[in-house]
Amino acid sequence: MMPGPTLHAAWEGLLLVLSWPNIVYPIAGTLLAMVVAFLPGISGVTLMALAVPFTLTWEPLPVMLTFGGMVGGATFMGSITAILFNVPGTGPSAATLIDGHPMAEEGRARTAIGCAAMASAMGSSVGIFVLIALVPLMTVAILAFGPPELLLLLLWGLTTIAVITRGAVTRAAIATGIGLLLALVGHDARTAEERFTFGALYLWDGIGLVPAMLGLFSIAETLSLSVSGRETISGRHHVEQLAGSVWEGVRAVFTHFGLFLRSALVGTVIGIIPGVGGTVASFLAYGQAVQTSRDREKFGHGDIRGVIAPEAAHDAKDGGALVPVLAFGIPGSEGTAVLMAALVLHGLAPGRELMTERLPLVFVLIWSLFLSNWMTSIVGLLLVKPLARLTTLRVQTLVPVILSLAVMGAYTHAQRIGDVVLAFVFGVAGYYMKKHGWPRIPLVVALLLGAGVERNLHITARLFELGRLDLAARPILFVLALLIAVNLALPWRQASKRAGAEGTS
Amino acid sequence: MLGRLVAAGAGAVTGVGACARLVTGECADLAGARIRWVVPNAPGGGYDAETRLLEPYLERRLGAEIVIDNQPGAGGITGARAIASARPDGRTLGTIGVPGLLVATMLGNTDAPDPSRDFTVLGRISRSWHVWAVGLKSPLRSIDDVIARSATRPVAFAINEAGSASLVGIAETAALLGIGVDLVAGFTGTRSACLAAIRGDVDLVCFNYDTIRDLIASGDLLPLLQVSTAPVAPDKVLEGVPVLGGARGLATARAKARNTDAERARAAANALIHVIGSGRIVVAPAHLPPAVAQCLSSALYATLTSAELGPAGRDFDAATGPAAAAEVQAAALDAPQLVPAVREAMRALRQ
Amino acid sequence: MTDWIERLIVTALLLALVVVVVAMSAGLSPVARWMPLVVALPTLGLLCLEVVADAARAGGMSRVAVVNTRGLSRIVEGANRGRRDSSDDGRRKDERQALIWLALAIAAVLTLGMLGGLPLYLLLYLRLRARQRWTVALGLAGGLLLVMYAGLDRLLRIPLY
Repeated sequence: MMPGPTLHAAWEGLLLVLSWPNIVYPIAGTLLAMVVAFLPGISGVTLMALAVPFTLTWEPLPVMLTFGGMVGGATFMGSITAILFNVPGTGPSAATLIDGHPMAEEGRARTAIGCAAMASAMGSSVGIFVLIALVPLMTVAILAFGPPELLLLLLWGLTTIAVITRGAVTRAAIATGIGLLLALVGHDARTAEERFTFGALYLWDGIGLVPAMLGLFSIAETLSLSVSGRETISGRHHVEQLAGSVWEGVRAVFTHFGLFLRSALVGTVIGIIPGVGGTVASFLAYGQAVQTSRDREKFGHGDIRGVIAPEAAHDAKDGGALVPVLAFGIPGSEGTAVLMAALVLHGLAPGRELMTERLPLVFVLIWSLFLSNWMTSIVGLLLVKPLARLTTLRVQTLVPVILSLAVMGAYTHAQRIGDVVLAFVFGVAGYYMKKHGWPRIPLVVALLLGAGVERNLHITARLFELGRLDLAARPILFVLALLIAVNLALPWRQASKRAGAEGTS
Repeated sequence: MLGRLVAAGAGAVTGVGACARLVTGECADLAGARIRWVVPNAPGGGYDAETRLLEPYLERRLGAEIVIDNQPGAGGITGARAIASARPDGRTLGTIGVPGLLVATMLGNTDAPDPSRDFTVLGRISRSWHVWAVGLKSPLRSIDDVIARSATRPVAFAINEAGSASLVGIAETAALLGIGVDLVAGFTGTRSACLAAIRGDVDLVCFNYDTIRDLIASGDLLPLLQVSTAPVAPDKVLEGVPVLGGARGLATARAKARNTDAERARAAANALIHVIGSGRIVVAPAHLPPAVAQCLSSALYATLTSAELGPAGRDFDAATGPAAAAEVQAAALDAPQLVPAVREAMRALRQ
Repeated sequence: MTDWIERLIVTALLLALVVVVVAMSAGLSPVARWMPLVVALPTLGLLCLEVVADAARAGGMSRVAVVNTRGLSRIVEGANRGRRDSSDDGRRKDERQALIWLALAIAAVLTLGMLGGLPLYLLLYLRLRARQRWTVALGLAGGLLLVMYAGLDRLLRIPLY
């Protein structure tokens, strides 16, 4: 497809979104999604699924407007609970809490939320502009990533753990191994065998990432807060005593623009690859932020760069994630799965017909998403002050509220009480891991990536065995292999530099 | 437009009170009740979208409140068990995929309920017909090419899960046609497997036609075989594509060409088609009182065949409760015939 | 229980988890057990090293002590050998209480369901542990009940446990 028709369709789509009363749909969709997404575990997908029957009699245009708003509206709110309470509202916001929550503990919640809001909005803009640029090349982009490429990408994610976990390398390796083993619990799709389920049907689909994360971070943190002796999360009792400001956070994105742009591009690329998801994008972006920074001591202790990177990547992924949906009908996330179901029900089958004959409608969806992401961030910025106030409340008042939110999130995610029990188990485990110096991030990342690593490793090996793979014709593999090698070499280089510095001092 | 937004939402949500006049005598017991509709997928996945499509219309017909209870897990078995273990009082119904449960039983999964015994069948929503398809860059352009290729080396199929209906379809069809196959399992989702075929990593895929119809229509996939006794849809792209079953199907023709028992091959092909095609059905727990079953069944069939659904309802292939129940019984009786081919395929996968 | 014993138990539990995985892998097909063993065996090795290291730390061995002993005949007790003070006792008491309240929360949810158990837990915690006023406790618990009932059950139609 030539750029001319693409740009024309993009302009037409933009005009359609901004006209009256069309503009009402994405605004309504965004606001509804924001309200619902504040509750952990729901993440807007349920809202979208509920909206499907409501929209059955609608024309395609308002459908695209509304669902574009919903997809964008759900993403930012999970970051707020991650920053304030260490409760990841969505999977991707787990990376934000690594540095976001320590900032709140330092009394800099306003800075963190302001930064997250701006990085989110700008990141989504990058993702959308890349999406627009890729419209003529969507098919090529998706077909370029097969199981071998996916395997190396996921391995890159795993080796990133080595970069972001400093100091306790052995324990990080062990936590990674345990995370990988937990990821293998469940039904093995290749052989139809049950592994490590102890005969429990609940474990057939494996250990859920959402209850594990809510347990390891949120519930564990409520235990830690209870015994920490802290009066408030921020250590302050009044809003006036809080440090930092919203604008400091907003400015930080521009101060670290190079980091922001790299992270947004990581998120966009990850979004394009079907089946990888926003959580991987966030952690990979965080890892590359640590990797590419000279002074990385503050990461994990309230470094604002640790908020910029995952937030930019997380929202940039939305634009990228539309590429496989629109081109091949492959959903890259639960949200895009519902979007696809809605499109199909309205006779808008994703694929070539949609991308050629109804391209303006596609751009309506894209611009609606763009508008929604900015709206969410602006509303978030307006809410910063009342939200930051929560960090001055007494910890013992907040603890049961946070725990209740975490329990609700664990249950509503898949409506299984087993997830609540699992979250509690991980909560106790996470508490003792934190208490005795065991890193939790490598475990979570490995749990997230483990099943995909095994699956793609097996498929790649099988294709190789059948003589179906021509490695030389897949240049992306070499780029990814190089990235992995850099990740593996970096800790050694750092260690020898440190040893050298100690030797000369 | 704003008016339509408000009207559509209000109409769907307040259906119960506004439309009590649609409730018939035999459904009087359910009027005002809260009915749980179990869906064995997460919100937005699999059967969830079509269930949410039907829910407001069925609510109006029953005069009841329907709550969708997503119970994903274990390939649909969790949801199926939730339905089977509920009280048979008309307050619980759900959607199940019959092929998936039958395949689970074939593989020795004792947790899977038996669709022919453990439920009261209320109606069929849709059927699934498999097609074999290759990617657009594939040198294989017909099923004869596939048969010829397999004489020198096995053809490679991409499948999602080892325990899926696709595996059963491929294993049995390959046995009937005398084709050697290599299975590459572990793809996440139908689309990922189809991409592998489009990319040229594998030769073929075998999936429900409805799921890959758009890829076939766009030319990314080329259909080579229909696992049915008649064309699965009146689509132009399927013209000239042979069918597997029936007296003039490929299974019979190949058996004759190979001098094997043609009648047995036809029966085996038809058995496979019954099992794969048994489709998605709506069920309630077993031993549901006949009057309640009749009420739910009638309301469901009327909903599925209603013009109210508009274009969204065109893909439904509805059947009444008794008709669907008979199909399920036939499929359950046919399923054991497929076990040897399935076990052989599983043995190869586990090596 | 002193910190070092607790630390050792945590490491030992992780070790036991991996041992169970290795043992259970034996009953799987070659394809299914390959990845678990490739991951579990090196992890097991590292965990064994950690157990030894934790035990050594718990024994309070300093580098000087190890270098100066012949075999294991002399082990010098280090400063981190479980010496307790009143702040440790206070923390342990807080920890016990936190774990008990967590257990109460899960028990409440499992026995009374989400709608009954969670608001009740919130109310009791705020009154008994956080020593909040009745108005605050009832307000927050009531708010939670409202969100769950009106928001989740009625509006979003998510059936609650």
